[in-house]
Amino acid sequence: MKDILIIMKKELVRFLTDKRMLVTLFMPGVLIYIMYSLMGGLLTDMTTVDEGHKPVVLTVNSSEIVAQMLTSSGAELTEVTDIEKAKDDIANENADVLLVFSENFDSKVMQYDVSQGKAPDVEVFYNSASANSSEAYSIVYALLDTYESSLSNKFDINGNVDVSYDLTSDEDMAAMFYSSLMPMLLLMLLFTGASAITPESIAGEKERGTMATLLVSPVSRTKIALGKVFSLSVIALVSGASSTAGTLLALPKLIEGSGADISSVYTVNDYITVAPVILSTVLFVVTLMSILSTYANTVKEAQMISSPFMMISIAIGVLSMAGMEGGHNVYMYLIPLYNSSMCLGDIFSLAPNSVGLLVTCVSNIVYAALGVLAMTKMFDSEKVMFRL
Amino acid sequence: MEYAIEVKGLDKSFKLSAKQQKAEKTKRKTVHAVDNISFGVKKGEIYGLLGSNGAGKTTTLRMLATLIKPDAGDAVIDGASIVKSPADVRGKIGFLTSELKLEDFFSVDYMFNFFAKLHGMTEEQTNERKAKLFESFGINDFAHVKVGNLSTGMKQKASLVVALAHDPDIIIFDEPTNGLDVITAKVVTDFLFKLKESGKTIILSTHIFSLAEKLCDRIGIIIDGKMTAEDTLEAFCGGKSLEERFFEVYEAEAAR
Repeated sequence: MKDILIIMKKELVRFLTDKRMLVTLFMPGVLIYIMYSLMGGLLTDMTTVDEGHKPVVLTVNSSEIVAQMLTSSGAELTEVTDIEKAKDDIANENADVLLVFSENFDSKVMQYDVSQGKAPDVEVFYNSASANSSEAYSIVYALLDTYESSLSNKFDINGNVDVSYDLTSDEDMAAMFYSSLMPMLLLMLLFTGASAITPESIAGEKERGTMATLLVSPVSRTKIALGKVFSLSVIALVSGASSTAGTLLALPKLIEGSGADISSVYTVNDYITVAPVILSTVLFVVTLMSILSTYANTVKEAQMISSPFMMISIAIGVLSMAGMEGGHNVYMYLIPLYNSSMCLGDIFSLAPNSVGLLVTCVSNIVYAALGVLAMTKMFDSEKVMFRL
Repeated sequence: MEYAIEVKGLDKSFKLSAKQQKAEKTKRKTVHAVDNISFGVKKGEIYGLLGSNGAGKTTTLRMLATLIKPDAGDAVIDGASIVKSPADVRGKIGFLTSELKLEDFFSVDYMFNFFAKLHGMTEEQTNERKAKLFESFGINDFAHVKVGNLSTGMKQKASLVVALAHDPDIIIFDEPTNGLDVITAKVVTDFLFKLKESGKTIILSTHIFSLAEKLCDRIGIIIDGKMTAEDTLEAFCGGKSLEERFFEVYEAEAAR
C-alpha cells in the first residue's frame, strides 16, 4: 500500500505542479465557460427587441378597425401610398411592418360570406433579420388572427388565459433536459480528462525510457499499475469536474429563460447517488486508457489508438440520449460505459434504478481490476515493454 | 568461496522483424543472442564481460537485472532466482545502463528520494546516503535542477546515484563509461574502485580493454552469444596484454 502511495504522489506532483499540464487539464473547462457564455450572449442579443421600442407600422388603404386595435396595443401607424418605398423602409429597418389592405377592407369584411368567392385580404410585409420587425410582425399577426376568429367564432381552444394547460412542472422539464444531456457530457469530459494525461504518463514514460527505471526497482508491477491508475483517476476526475463546472455554469446563459436551472431540480441526495457512478466510471475509463497507453510505444500512438474509444463513448452517450425511456434489462447494466450512461440518465431524470446502479458500480470496478491485472502482465512482458 | 552471482545455462533468442532482417542482410527469422552461457561471480569480485557490439553482453545483463526473461537457464543472485523471484533480485541489485532514464520533469534530488522510498529506505538512511553519493559525484551543484535541463554527463551521473541509492551489494553495470566525457569517466572508474574496496560485487560489460585490465578480477569473453573463454584476468592474459589475448581468442573462434 505504501508503494502505491509513493507512486501516486509522484504522479500527482508530476501533473499538478506542471504549468503546461495544468493548462491542458483546466483549459477545456474555462474555454467551455467562455464560449458558451459568449454564444448565449450573442443569441440573446439577436433575439431581443430594443427596450421600449414601439412597433412602427406603415399602412396602405388602412382599415379603421384594425388601426384602432393596433394603436391601442401601442403601435405607431403611418398611412403611406408608395408601396415600393414602404417595402424599402422595412428592409432598411426604418419601419417594422407594412400592412397592405385591399380597398374598402372593413365593409368588404362585414359583407363577406364564406360561400362567396375570394375573401378580402391583407398583406403583412416584414424583415425577419430585424428583431424589432419580427416582434412587430408577430404582434400584428396575432392581432389580425384574433380579429378574424372573433368574426366567425364557433369554439375556443385553450381560451382561458388564466389556466396553465401544460401540466409539466419546470422541474420535470429541467430533469428531462439534463437527463438527455448529462450522460453524454460527463462521459465525454471524463474521456477528455483521461486522454490528456494517460498517454503522457504511461506511453510517455515508456517512450522516454523512464518506465524501465521503475521496472528494475523492487516494487511489484501490480503496485505500479495501481499507483498509476489511482493517481490518473484523481487527475481525470479533477479535470472532468472543472469541465463539467464550466459547462453547468455557462448553460443557463446559453439557454436563457428555459427554466432549466439545475440547482432547483436536484437535491444533495441525487448528487450523492451520482458520485459512485462517476467514480467507478473514471476507474474504468482510466484503466482502459492505461492499457492502451501501455500497449503503445509513443505518446502519439497512444493518443491515436485511444481516440476511437472516445468516439465510442460519445456515441454511447448519444445512444442513451435517444432511448432514455425506462425499463432497462438488468443485464444491460453489465455493459461498460453504456451502463454508466444509463445510470446517469436514470438519476438525472429523477428515476434512479438502485439495482442498475449497484450492477454498474460493481461491474465497473471488476472490469477495472481485471484491467489492472492485464496491465501487470503487460508490464512484465518484454514484448510489450521493450518490443523484443 | 561462495558465488554472489551464479549463471547457469542462460539462453535467449529474439525474433527478427522483416525490417531487421533486411537491415542485417539475413534470411534468419531469429537471432540467438545468448547461447547457453554459464559463469560465476564471487563475492567482492569485479567480473568483466568482454565482447564486440551485438555479442550478447547487454542481453545477458538485462536478463540478470530481470528486465527480460531467459528462454532457458537461470541465474541465482545472492540466493534469489531471476526466474522464480525476480522482485527479490531487483531489491538486491543496482542496474546501471544508459537505457534507464530519469524523468525530465523532476530534480535529481526528487528522483533520488522517490527511488530510495521504493526501496524501503527511511528518511534518515536516504539523507545519509544522498549526502555521501552527491558529494562523491559532485551532484550538489545541480541536485535541484530538473533532469531535463541537465547536460548528458550530468544526467549520467544522476542516473548512477539513483541506481545506487539503496546501497546494493551487487551492481550490474552495462558499459560504465560509454558516452561519458573523460572527466566523468574518470569519476566513474574511481568510484568503481571505491565500490570494490568496500566489498561490493560488480559485473560489468565493456569493450574498452584498458578499463577491464585496470578493474576486473575475472574476465569472460562473449562471441556470438557464446562464452568463449573465461578465467581470472591474470590466468587469461598469461603475461600478454588483454587486447592481444582477446584478438587471439576472437580470431581462433572466427577460423573455426
